Amino acid sequence: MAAEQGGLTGEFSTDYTAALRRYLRTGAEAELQAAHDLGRRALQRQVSILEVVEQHTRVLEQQGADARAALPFLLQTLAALDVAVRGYAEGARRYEQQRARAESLQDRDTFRTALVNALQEGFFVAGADGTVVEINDAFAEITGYGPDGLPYRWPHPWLPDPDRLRDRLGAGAEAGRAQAELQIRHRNGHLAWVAVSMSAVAGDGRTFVGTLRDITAARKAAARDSALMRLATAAGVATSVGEVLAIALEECRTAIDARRLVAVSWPDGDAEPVLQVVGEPADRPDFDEPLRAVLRRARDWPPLTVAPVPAADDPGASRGVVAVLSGTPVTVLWLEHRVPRPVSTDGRRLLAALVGHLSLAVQHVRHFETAREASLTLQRAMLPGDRPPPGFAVRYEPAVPPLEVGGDWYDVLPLDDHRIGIIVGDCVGRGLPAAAVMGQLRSSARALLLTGEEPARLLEHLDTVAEHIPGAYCATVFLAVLDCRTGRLRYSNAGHVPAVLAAPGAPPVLLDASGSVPLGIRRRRGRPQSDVTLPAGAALLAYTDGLVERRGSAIDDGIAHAGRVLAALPGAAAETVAERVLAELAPPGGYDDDVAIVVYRHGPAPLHLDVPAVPERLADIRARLADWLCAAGVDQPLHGDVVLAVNEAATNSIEHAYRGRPPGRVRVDAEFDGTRLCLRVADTGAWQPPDPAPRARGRGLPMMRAVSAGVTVRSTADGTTVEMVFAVGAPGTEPAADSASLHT
Amino acid sequence: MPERTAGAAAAELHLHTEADLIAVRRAARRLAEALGFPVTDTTEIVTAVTEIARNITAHAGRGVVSLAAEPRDGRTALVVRAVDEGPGISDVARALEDGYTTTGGLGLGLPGARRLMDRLDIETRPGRGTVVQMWKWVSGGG
Repeated sequence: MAAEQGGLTGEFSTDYTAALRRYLRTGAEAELQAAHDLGRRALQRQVSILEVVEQHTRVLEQQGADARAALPFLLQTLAALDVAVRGYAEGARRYEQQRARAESLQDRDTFRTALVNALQEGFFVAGADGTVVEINDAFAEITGYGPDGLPYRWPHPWLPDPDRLRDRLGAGAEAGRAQAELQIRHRNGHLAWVAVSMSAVAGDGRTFVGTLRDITAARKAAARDSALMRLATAAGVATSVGEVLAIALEECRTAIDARRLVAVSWPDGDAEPVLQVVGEPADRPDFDEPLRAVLRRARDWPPLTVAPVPAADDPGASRGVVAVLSGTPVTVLWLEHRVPRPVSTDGRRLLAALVGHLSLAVQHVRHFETAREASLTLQRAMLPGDRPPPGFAVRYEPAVPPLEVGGDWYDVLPLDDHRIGIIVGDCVGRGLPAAAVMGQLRSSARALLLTGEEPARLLEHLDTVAEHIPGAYCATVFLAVLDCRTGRLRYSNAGHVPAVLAAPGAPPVLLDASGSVPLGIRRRRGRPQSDVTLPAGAALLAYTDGLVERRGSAIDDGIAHAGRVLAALPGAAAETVAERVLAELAPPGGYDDDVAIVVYRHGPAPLHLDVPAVPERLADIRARLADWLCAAGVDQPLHGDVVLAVNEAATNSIEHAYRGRPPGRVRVDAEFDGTRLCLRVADTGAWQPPDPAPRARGRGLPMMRAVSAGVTVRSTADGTTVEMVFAVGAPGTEPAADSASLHT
Repeated sequence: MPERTAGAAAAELHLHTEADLIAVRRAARRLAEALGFPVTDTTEIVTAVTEIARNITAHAGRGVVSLAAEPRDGRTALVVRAVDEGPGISDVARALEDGYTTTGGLGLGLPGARRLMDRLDIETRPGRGTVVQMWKWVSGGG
């Protein structure tokens, strides 16, 4: 029966039969071991349990053996198969579980993929070595690199600066989290800003997930804002339209590569526009007609319009941008690019914002400029503008910059042809309020001076005036009238520092004889006045206390110092004296109070020359006359004209007066009273009429007449006298400019 | 020769060769019968012990198997301890899965033994040897 089953099964049943028989005979454990091995073999060879049982039963029948005795053998054989059966059920269960888990995982995978792709932010997975192994659609959009290029090894193609990124993210990567803002280059070339955030996958340490967000727009907006902030801040302290435009140009230089900014306005309606240029080239730009047409049209555009102007040869690029500022008068800006270029949307946005701020800044500065102009105009109106008469020098130094006026003032007014009024005054206070009072007092004092009354009376009138001017109370004034012909100075002093007089060869004296109270203070009697006669060559100094008053020293010391300076400069012209006084009395840090000074150098004693009438003495005459004219303070070109005219007259005397006789003498006399210069050239010979044949020199009389205010020739048998009069320094006029001066 | 009385049929056997397997089987059968296990349980116990012992000879070369009746969770059980100083099992969880074999066998050994007995514990450290402890409770008190 065993032979009926062929092959393996046959072999198995043979071995089984043999082993069972042995066990039935011996009952040995070794046979049970064999049964165990048979069972394993049956499992391996996939022998059916049914067949084992059948074979077992057959052998028992053959042997006639007891089933119970044989049971252990059967059980041992089936043990392996039994274990397998039990394992099957477990395995099937486990398989089912795994399948379910796998399906659930697949669902989750699908879900994950959908989620990742729905993100607006770019998503990526990268290994610790930097290789990007997974990305989503948004990542591809932001960087331009899609999933076909995966994996992207380090350094990534979208990074223009990989090492920087490694530095910035490296430390964070160690810690498991990192964030950074950086620039990337899109596949199509343009640069963008992104914010990157990544973190390590927990427990792994080798994998990172992260997101990428495009922040280009936000950064551009921030850059725009800071450009505007810079503009607003800088423009806030600008003091001229030019400064504001320069600041705007700087911002536009970076934003749109502008090299020049031109502000065009039409203050006179349709006349030629006024241009203001900042940048290079700085000369007046030569606009071609198309651009000029655009600028003219732009006058009618709505304010804050920004429009690029296309380049002539490249319609895609513009040569510059035209913008219209708001406010009046209409101002059109022309922003010229360095080279023609397209203007991006961001550029236009920035410009639109800039133009708005610029308009405000320009308006403010214009107001400021207008106000400053008005202030300066008013201030200058309060200053004495005329040149002082000859022999006088004036200086005015207000204490409070940037003001050009203060509470002090001076005036030197010719009253008629031989009298000059001199006033130096000092209002209470400093700065503009004092200047306002000063202006009113000054006008009143001038008007009063011109009435020609006596100084004391004039000051009394000024007292009355001062009562009606708020702030004029206690102003101090020194008022004097000088008679140039006699040298008499009549003066009155209302509380002011005393004038100083330095006569040559004598110690300086103070003119303090007629002092009284300041303006506006009640007096019981009239004001005093005094006379003093100025010796020839004397110097007079009238001033305000800013010159001499110093903290920590007595004012008398300052006044004495001024007197010493005056006395140390005998013969020096008034201008020189004024310079030296200011320089020597200045404190180390400069004057800290208003200073006004008037210096007068009284004319020198008349010149009397009496020399032999020979040609050799002409040079001598000229030299002595020139010295005398300098001392008298007569400047060029009059100085030269006088010397020339006198030289002519003297030459005539020398050549003609003593012809045919032994040479006599020629006298030259000169006198100056401050306004008139009189020169006399006299001889005691007979003056021949001019040779009918004109020689090279013979223009004499006509020339003298041309340069002087008048020539008189008196010819008698006793001699000839030529008198010439020159008018000197009537305020504002240059006598030599009217006549044909030989020196021009 | 160990006595055939319950509680006194404990044994400790050294394993070197295949022949020692039979001695281990015999000792296990004796203890199981002494404790009153029916023939199917006895077969299962002996089969499990054989598998564990075979693991030792196959992987470690030599070891010690001890058999005793000991209380477990308040009941008497036939406890088998197999100790070797072999290479240890590196992945116990995997070793307890059917079909996993490193010797080209059926992979029944450990998981099979676990199914045949009531409990099976393994203490092993790669390179430091293995201790397998398994037991089957005596049924109906004992």
